[in-house]
Amino acid sequence: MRSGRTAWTSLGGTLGWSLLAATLIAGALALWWRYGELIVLSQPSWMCLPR
Amino acid sequence: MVMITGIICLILAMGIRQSFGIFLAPIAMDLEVGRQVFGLAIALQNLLWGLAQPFTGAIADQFGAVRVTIAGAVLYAAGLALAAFSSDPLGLNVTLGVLVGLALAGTTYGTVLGAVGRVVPPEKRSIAFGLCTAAGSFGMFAVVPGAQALLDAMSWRDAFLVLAIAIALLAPLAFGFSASDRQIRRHEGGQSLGSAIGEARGHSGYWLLNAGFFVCGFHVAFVATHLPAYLADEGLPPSVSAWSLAMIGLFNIFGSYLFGVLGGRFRQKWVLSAIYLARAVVITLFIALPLSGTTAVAFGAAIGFLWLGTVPLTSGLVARVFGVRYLSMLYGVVFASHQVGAFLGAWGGGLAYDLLGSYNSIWLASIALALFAAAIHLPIKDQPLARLAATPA
Repeated sequence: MRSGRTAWTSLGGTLGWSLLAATLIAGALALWWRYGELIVLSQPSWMCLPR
Repeated sequence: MVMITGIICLILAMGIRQSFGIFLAPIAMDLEVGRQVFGLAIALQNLLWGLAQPFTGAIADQFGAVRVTIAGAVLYAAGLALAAFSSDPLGLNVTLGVLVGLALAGTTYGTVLGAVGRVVPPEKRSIAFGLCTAAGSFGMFAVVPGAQALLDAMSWRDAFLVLAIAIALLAPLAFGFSASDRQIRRHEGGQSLGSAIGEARGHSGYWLLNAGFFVCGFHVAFVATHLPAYLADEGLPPSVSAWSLAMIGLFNIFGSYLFGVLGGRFRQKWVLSAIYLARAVVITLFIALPLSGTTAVAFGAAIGFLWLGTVPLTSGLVARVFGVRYLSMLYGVVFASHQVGAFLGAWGGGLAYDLLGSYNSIWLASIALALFAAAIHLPIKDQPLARLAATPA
């Protein structure tokens, strides 16, 4: 019983951390969607090297 | 608690450091200085970070990660806050260059992995290092667009002040490393710092790890610095560069963690060798296949997956062979080699372009270096030193 509860808690913990990580990554991806192009354009050295 | 502290530390310290590039244009415009002024401050920062890492590592190994992280957080916050009030090139070099460069040596991988390594059992060390590295990778991925959002909402000076407040939080958080520092006091009277340096110097594997990490630095700095320019040269729009960079950041998180896990199951030198071999294959395919938006984004994902997976493996191998007592310092030396490679990758890429009119030669050099790194990890003697059999690693 105890080991079953431990396994369940462990699974819950793993799922919780995974869910938190997935949410944070999705949030960051949304920021890239919104600001990605601006980030590239704001670093002129990337766009202005001699051709 | 040590793990959570390390994770937050790396998210903030690595994330903020990665976001400095987007401040280039507004600072150059506001202070009416050339872009090279800001570029010099960032170059100085990276060089100092690498050069200072062995020394801050040695201090962390002797006096604990708590003090080093607090000092790093104070320097980092001071660097950012004072940069917000800078009005000339000297101010930028001192704040973003010197202060933040030294601060990074106290708040990033060298200090954190040493602290974590002391409290995690050897069989779980690689996965713990993978988790910490993935946290740093997440910081690099998430904080850059977050800082861009700040810049959208406020001036660059106010944005620096917000980032200074965020990084200052690391000072109280550093006490989360206390349990790790207690392990240092438990092992007082053991091997001396000088003896640890001598031991590493006499081990051929340590030199090979230095050479391998040099290649890693060369690759990541070259790609991060020059990929968007290369794609622009080939006529691809900025949106493709943006998504290529985003894919590097995203897949770097997964790769950092996964290679940490693999390092716990297989011999780390083999996994390292496989990473460098895979980099050679990925770069070869990238330059051999016709370039399009799809191949550029796919390249970002593939090279991103292989980006910092080398960190948990290289640091794990140092810990495995030499133990964790002086891990921060010994890894710090290897990291310094990484930064020299990074300097040459970023600068050499530009130099090769200016001299030859294309990036072809540097892509080919990257492939050759990757094959070289894949080969030199194989003969590394990765058995723990005999000394470690008598005392716990």
